Amino acid sequence: MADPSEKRKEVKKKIRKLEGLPTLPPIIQKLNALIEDERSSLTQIADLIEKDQVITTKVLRLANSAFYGFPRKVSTVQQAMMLLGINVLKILIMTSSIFEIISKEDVGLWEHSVGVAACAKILAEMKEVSDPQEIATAGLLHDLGKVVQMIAFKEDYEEVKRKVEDGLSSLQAELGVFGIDHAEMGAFLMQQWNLPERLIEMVNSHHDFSRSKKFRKESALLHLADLLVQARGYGETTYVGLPPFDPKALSILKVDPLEIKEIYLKLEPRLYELKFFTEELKREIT
Amino acid sequence: MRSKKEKKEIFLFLPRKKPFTDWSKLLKRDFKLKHFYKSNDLLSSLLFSPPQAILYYFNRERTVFENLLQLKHNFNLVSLAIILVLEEEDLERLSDDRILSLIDDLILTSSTPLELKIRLSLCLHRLTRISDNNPLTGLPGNVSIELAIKKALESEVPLAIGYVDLDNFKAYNDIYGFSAGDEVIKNLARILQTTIFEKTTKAFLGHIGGDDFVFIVPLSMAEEISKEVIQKFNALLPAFLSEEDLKRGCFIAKDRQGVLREIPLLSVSIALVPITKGKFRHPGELATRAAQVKSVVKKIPGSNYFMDRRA
Amino acid sequence: MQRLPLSYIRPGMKTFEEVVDAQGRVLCGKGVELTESMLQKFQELGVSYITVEGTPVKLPWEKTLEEELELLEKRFSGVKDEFLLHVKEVLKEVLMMKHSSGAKNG
Repeated sequence: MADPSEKRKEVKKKIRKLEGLPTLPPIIQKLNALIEDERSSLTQIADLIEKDQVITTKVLRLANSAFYGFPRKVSTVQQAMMLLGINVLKILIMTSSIFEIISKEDVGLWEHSVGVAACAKILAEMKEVSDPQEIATAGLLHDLGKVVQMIAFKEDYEEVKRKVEDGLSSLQAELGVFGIDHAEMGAFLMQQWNLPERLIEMVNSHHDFSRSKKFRKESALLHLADLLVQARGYGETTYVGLPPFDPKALSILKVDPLEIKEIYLKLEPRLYELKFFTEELKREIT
Repeated sequence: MRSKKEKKEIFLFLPRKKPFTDWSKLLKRDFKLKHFYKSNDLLSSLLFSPPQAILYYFNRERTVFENLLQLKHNFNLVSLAIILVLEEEDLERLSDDRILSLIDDLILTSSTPLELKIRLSLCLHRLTRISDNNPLTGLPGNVSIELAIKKALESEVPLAIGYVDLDNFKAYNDIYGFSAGDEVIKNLARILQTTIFEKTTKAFLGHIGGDDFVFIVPLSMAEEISKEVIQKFNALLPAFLSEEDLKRGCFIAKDRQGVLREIPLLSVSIALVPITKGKFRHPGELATRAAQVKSVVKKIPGSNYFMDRRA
Repeated sequence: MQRLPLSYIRPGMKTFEEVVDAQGRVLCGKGVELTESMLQKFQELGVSYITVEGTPVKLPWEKTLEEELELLEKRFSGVKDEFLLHVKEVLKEVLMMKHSSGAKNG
C-alpha cells in the first residue's frame, strides 16, 4: 500500500504539469457554431460557456494570466469576456481539446456541476451573499478535481470507482488511492492557473469547510447546494446515495429547514430547463 | 560586472527538415527553443505564455498565421517578435501591408544559420529599443498618436477622437498603491481594445501615459463605443475595490491640506470631439477643444462620455 | 402546458404564456398560434424558452411520479439524520406538486 503523503506529492506534481483539460465534444461543436454565427450575442456565448466547467476554467485562467498582468480577480465568464474579447475567445476555443473516449455516464458529472451552479446561485440570491454569479461559477467548478482524475489519473480513477462499488465512501476511496480528495485537487489546479482566491477556497472547502479561512459562509453554501442537487437526483457523481452532510452549514448560512421547500421550488424550473441541454449532450455522444 | 542573462525563449513553427534543423542546432546554444508542428499547440502556448520571438514558416496554414497576428494585435504584444520564414518565390506574395505592419522581420530559407542567428538577435535588440509603445499596456505612444491625429484631421470620412481618463485616480493610487493602479490601467486598456476593435478595424487606440488614453473611431460608432466602455468598466470596477469602499460608496483619503475627505470612487470620463476634413487646421486647435470638452465631462459625477456639438 | 426551448417549438403550437425576449420585453401574448416567421423572429431576438398549451412533445427523459419517488427512496436508503429526512419529505411534496394537474414546466 503506497504511502499516502508520497502519493499526494506525486499527484500535485502531475497536476502542476497539466497543460489543459479536455471537454465534451458536443460542447466544443456548439460553441464553434455559436461563435461562427454572426447573429450570436456575447451573452449567448457566455451562457453556453457557463455550462462547461472546463472552458470556464480556461477562460478564467487566461483572463487571470500572470503574463498579461491581470490581477487574480476575474471570477465570472462575463467579466473575462469583457477583457479578452471575441477574437481571443475564438482562438481559445479552437485550441481546446476534447475527450477521445467518453461515455454517457461521464456527462453525469457535467450535469451535476451545472445543477450545483444553479442551486448555488439561488442560495446566494436568497441569503444575499455577494456576487451570485461568482458563487454560481464556484458551483460549476466545485468538482473540477474529478475531471482532473478522469483525464490525468485514469487508472486510479477506475480504482476509486471500484472501491466505492465495494462499499467505501467516495471521499475515503479518494484519500486511499490519491492521498488527496477531489476538492483539494480541483483547488490546487485552480491555484496553479491563477484563479481568484474566493473561488479556490470555496472549491477546496466544499466538503470540509473547516478548511476555509475567509470564505466560510460561501463554502457552507456550496456544501448545501451540492447536497440538495444530489438529493434531487440531478446528474451523477461517484457517490452512491447522498454525500456526507455537515449540519453546521445550515447555521453558518442561517438556513431554516423550512426554507428548503422554497429553495426547491425555485430550483426545479431551472433544473428542468438545464435538462434539455444535458440530454442533448448525451444524445450526441454515441 | 555582467550578470548571467536568462536565455530568451523562441518558438519555432518550421518544417522538420533542412535547413531548419541546422538553424535549430545553432540557435539552441543561445536561446531557449520550443518546437511546434501542430498549429493548435502553437496557439495554445502563445495564449498562455508567449515567448520573445517566433519563427513562422510562411507556406504553412494561413488561418493559423492570421490567428497569430490577431493575438499579437489583441494583446498588444509589442515585444513578441514575429519573424516570417519565406521561400524566395513567396516574396511577391508579401505585398500585403497589413502583414508587413504586424510582423517584425523576414528571413529567406536560403539564409545560413549564422545569418539567421544574427538577424534574430538584431530583431530582439530593435524591439527593446522601440520606446514609443507604452511599457505598461503595449499601446502606441505619443509619436504614433500625433501621427494618427494628423492623419485623422485629413480624413474624408467623419471621425471622432475620444480622450479617456480616470476620475479620482490619484486617490486610488494613494490608497491602494501603484501596483493596483497599474492593474486598473491595464484593464482599462483591455476594455478599450476589445470594445473598439470588435466594432471596427478602422480605428486607432493610443496610450498617452498614466491614465490617459486616446482613440480615433468612425463618428457613427463613437457614442456606442463610449457607452460600452463605460458599462464594462463599471461592471469590472468592484474587482478592484475593497469591500469597505464598495459599501461606503466612496474613498476616505487626505486632501492636499491633510484633511480627511470623502472622495468619489474611480470612474471613467470620455471626451468626444467629432472631426471632419478641414474642421481643425492643426493638432493644437484640436487639443484646445478637447481640453474644454474634458473639463465638462469630468465635472459630471460617475462614469460619463460627452460629445462636443459645436462646429 | 409545457415549457420548451425554442428549438423544440413547431408552428401550430399555441402559447400558454406571453413570450419574452432576453431583455424581458413581451413579444407575443398568450393563446397565440405560432407561425414559422414568428419563430424565426424569436430566434433572432434571443428567445430561449416558450410555454405552450398541452404537452405536444414527449420528452424521453421525463419520469413518472412513481419512478421519481422510487429513485428518491433509493437515494435516501439508510438515511436516519433528521434534517436529511426532512429534505426527503420536502422533495416528495415538490415532486407531487410538479406531477399534479398535468403541469409540465418544472
